[in-house]
Amino acid sequence: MIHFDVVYLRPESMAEAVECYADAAGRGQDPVFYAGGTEITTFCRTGKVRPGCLIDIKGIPDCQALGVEGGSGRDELVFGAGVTLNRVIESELFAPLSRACERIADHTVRNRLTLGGNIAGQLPYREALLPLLAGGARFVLAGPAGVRTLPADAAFASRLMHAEGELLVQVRIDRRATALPSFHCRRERGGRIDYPLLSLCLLREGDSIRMAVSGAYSHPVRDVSVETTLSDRALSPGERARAAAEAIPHQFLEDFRASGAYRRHLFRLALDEGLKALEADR
Amino acid sequence: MKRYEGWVPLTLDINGEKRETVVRPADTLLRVLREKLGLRGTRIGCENGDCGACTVQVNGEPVKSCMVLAVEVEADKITTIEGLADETLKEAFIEEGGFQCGYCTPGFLMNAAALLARHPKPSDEEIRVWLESNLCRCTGYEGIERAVKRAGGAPPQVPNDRRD
Repeated sequence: MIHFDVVYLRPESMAEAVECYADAAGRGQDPVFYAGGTEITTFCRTGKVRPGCLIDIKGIPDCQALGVEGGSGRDELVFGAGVTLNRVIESELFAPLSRACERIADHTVRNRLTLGGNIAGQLPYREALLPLLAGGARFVLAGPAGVRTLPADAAFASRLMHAEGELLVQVRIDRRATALPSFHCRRERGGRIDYPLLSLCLLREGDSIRMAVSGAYSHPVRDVSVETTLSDRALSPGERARAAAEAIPHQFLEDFRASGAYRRHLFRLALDEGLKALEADR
Repeated sequence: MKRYEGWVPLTLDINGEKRETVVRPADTLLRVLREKLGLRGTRIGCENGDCGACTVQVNGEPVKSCMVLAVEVEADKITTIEGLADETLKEAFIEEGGFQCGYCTPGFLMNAAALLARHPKPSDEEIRVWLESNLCRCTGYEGIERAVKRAGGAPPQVPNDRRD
């Protein structure tokens, strides 16, 4: 039960959504964009957030896009921010994204939880981001200043870097990313339905390894300097994994689920397993 | 654009009937079903999206009604345990001992019915992935799994605790 009142708006276009936000903010209603609602409804119940206005983006066609579009000389996969994770998974448009999403929450929750919600939410894991960061996706944002497209690593730096009143509309990625060999691994403490101690995505383009990881740190991370180490084929996969786990310039999380040392250990083992799998896939 | 503010009249399509009520936009589907429409077969559990006791179907898909606002589903077809027509599944739960205290049973039934509608003969993996959305605090998972398999056409199985 949500104990306070909200205004619920359901715009039908990006422009209308942006206008709704500006209007509600102008009235002091503390608006938020709302998609699947799985996080906002539970956070409202526990008092973690208290928005005055929910702007539901599910009725916006751009936010429901799911498929392949041609343009600018290249095919792009398009994922609307309002598409549920189960639709993303079942589409199998981008296998690494399907693998990352199919371990988020549980099957029933994924019938409501959306791609945009996972990326823009407050939980630190945001595992859908991993293949998008590693694969060089682009984020389409709509706001008072118009529509802009940002590379994933510019659009996400510890959080979604959207301006006030700006809405995540779509995620786009070159179709050629679907041809890259990939590896995904997830480790939990308390069984399959649990937050990850580690969620790792590796993509290989030629000899170059791209890596994004979640659960180990306070937010998802893609680190190019570590990717250089991981791509050094003069070293064995085990040596590369050990060097990367020691070199990564981020503090491993310490909490009741696991120590930082244990998370680092899992990270090294997962890298070793992933590098070997990608070598075998040549 | 739709706008809901204050107390609003709402018509929901539930179990094939149009049901009229008055809600606040912040009211969850779970609370509206139980407290406004008297459909108390949908259980209140954690209200946090964890336990699945409140599972209903929206357009045939299982959802946790504690995480859905009633105003969101005004245009959708909602099915609750009161409207579940799958007698084969219900019989299988009885025959295979698919419940103990029974509190979680409506949620499991709604989820399992959606699974069987999508995958009439579900694999072990499909059963596990779909049903791990629901918790049974009596831990009667084996009976539930047997029931779903039986409803999917598998032959009756002898439970471990009834073997010689």
